[in-house]
Amino acid sequence: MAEMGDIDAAGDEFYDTAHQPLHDLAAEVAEVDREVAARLLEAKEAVESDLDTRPSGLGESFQVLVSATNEALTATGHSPMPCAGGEGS
Amino acid sequence: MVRDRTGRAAGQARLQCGPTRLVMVAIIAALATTACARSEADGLAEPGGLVAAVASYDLVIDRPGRFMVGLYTADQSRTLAYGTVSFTFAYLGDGEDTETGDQAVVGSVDAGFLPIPGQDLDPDTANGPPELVAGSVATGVYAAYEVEFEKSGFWEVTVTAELDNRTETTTGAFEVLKDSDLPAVGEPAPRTRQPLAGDPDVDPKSIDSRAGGDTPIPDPELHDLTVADGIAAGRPVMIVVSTPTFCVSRFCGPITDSVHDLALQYGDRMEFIHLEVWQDFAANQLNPAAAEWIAPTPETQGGEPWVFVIDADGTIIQRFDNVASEADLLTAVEKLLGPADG
Repeated sequence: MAEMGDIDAAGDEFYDTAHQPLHDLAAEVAEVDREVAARLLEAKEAVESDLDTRPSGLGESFQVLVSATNEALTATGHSPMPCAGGEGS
Repeated sequence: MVRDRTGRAAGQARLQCGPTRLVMVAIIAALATTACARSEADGLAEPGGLVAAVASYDLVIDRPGRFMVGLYTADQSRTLAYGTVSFTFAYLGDGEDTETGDQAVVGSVDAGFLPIPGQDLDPDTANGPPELVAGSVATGVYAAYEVEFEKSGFWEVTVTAELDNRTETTTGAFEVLKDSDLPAVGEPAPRTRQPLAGDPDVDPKSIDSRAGGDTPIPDPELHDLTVADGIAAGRPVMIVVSTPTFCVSRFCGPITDSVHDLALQYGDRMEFIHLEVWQDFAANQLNPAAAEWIAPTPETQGGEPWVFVIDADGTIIQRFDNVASEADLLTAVEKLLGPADG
């Protein structure tokens, strides 16, 4: 993600594979906990905004999205996602 | 490189996951698994098959209007885009005395591709045959116009698409109401007095859901005048009722940005206003100002986004439910004002 040249491709990949599932997960978790749904949608919006306009913020916004996604997965009875592990960037 | 793909508790993941591309891949993989499980649970997992999602809101008998359906693969990996498909409508019943025999087919219409805002599609491709594409390539719905339903109750649309020398069909169910309390074309616009940017008593997030923390209200030009004052000034008004952060429509697009772009271009000749849907999303509290437009009674089935166009007399002359392309919005403005100066 740190490569500026990858940002457009990363944005496309995010939109194609994560955008709608995040919406679906938010809708599902909103049935049981709207605060968790709010945090998830805010985190998703932050990542999409950073992909568009502030790539330097992506590291932080992805971290927040990871947490929010795990929280929502747990709240809806799904397994938290496996960690992709810490190279950082 | 992936150093550790073993499952960890959420708290550990927060500490361990680095802000790398791999983190995004992990999110995607987990969500794909979740979506797949949900799809199977819903009986939708038919690889390659199309799923239809009716995208229209507020369908009411004897009111000709736009009817929209979004089409995507069951695994949600691709959407159908470009060209035209056909819609065939059948009446299912009123929900109380459901007709279980042959469905009454009422008629068929052609429906063209309507992209959500924010995409730069090649016109030749867009006018070509339907194709299954990734959402980042093209996203939208198929729309038929002047569709009128004569009976209230439950209906089914069968969508037929010709692609790659094969015919795909899928169905979607929807409800047509006897009447509706939502503001409609030809009616006086609600004289809404919404809170404005800078109001010290109002959470900026309830003005625009993207605001909050260090983030200011993104489009102050859309939050400096009440609807009531705009109408009282004898100016046409375009109102977008939307929630950029909390949108749950499958066809969410940057419609608020599209209206803002028009405000920058035409703001000297008419008013452009954004009403944020949520006063507090987490608490399930609608903004009263938005509710006047999209949920005027407790019984109203909500839906967002909406765009309403109001003439200088304060009458609603056009409205767009859920999806409006940049071309749709520009045409609506130019219908009121004529082409942009310069």
